[in-house]
Amino acid sequence: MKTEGNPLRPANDNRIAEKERLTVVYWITIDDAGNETGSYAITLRPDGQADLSQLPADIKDTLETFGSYDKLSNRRLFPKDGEFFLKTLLANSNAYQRVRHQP
Amino acid sequence: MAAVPLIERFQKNPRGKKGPDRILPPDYLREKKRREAVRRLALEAAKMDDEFGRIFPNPENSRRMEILNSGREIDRQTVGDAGVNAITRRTYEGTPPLTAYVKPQSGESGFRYDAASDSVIQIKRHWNKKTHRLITTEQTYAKGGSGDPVEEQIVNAFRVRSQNFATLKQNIADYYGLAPDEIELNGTEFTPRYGVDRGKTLIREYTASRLDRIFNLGVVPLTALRAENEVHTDPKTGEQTTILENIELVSVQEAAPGKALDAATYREILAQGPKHPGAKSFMRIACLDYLMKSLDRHNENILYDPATQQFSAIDNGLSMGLSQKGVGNQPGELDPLRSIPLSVVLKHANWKLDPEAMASLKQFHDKTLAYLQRREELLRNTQKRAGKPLSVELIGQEIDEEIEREQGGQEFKYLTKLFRMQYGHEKVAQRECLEFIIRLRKLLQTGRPPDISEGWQGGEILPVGVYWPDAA
Repeated sequence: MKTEGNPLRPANDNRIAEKERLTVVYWITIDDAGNETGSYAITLRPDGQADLSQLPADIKDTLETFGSYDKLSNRRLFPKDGEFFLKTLLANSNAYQRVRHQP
Repeated sequence: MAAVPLIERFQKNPRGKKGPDRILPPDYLREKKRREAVRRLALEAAKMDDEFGRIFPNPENSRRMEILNSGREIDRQTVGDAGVNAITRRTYEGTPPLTAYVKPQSGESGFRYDAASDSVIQIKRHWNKKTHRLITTEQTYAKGGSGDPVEEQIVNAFRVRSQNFATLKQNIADYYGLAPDEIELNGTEFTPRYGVDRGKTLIREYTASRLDRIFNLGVVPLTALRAENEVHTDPKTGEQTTILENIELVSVQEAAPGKALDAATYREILAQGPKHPGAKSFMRIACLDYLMKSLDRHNENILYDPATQQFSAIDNGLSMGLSQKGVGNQPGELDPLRSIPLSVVLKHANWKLDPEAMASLKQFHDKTLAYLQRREELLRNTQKRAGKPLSVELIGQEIDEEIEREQGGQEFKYLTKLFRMQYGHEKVAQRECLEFIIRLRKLLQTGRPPDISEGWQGGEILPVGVYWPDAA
């Protein structure tokens, strides 16, 4: 649930949303000039683990080696960590390693 | 008709009433303060860049800095999810045009511990282009008692942090010799690091870029701070209007070549060490990470460009955190240093910083030392003339004017101003500046970062926590 809050109108105060389950994120590949060249889904399997099978081999290797470093728990998360792995990928997304909700 | 309370009248029409009895809603005042702070900071950064150009002359740096600071935008593309990672890719007019990634301050997530629901709430903000309002969304990030080990760890960490915040602030204040109220650290909305305050990561991006240029390391993409107004484009006429009220602090970082460090490159650099073609820039990042206490240098924040064989360091927002009182007069570990380059270079004992970078660091160090010694000498002379001890506070200005006439210590003074802008408090900046110089000296002694690892297990896949050096 998203709510809009205008800083000039405190009456429209922010509300806490329920926890939304994250089941898919998209890994965006880019070329040397920074243009987007492809989009690959990382989904949650029924057993709760993240499925990297659609990713190019080098990206899959990197994610399986490094995992994704979670700043909040101060540990590397791997596909077995499921939803938190997807959240961490989103949180670590930057201009050069793009991960989004949408393809 | 019953009189409408004043506060409600202002909520409906905040600008409707003028005069001394005007009472403004707290949210309005907070927003006003935020806008003023954004304008002030961007202005200060622009002034600092003028000074940088005078002290560290480099025509190419100055040209690119000017474009990043005030260049006209000719193209814009969205890169990340709105509200999650609101980065845009821009092209600025210039010869040749400059491509940069722009990150707004509002895109930075904050985290709050909610005791009632035993949850960690993620707070995100971004501008809504349709309604021209700041949108805040709060979502439960992790909930206690779920049984998920990652979730439990996150909730536990934030619960402890929230409960012990007063003690933590007291320890920080003790280290800097201040009262807890003087420490700028948000006690309800946290960043992922103890010593980095919410809303301060962009300044750190800027500082990291300037530190990189001061020492001619060339591993951090050039970054500027800008106050950017939202531009509204009329869908029918295409006419553009600048919305002055919707002002945002943004960091504008020049696009760097390369992609995030992948597993294959990591294995190569780990095995080859100083023989790797990119070893020079990798060691430079390790040294910079040590100097600026990097707290977040994981593989996604390191770029490698095989064409130029250069590594670059991006996302420097979580660095240069505050310290707390340690043993004796030494800084205590508040956040452990976390850097893949630091951990990798420590595995190769013969890996040193290149002579060019060493010379640059040494030049800065020697000039700083000469300035401090000259200051000391002038202080002694003045006290001798007066025939009695005089406090530095009393005659400091006189001494500084004298040194300024001699054009000494400009580099060190620039550094202290940079730290003052970042930390927002004179005493904190002074102490951090001193600690920075101590780290610089340690680096110069061996030509590589000192072995500060603790509990470091060789062969473990990184990132490995590299901790604060022992008191020495």
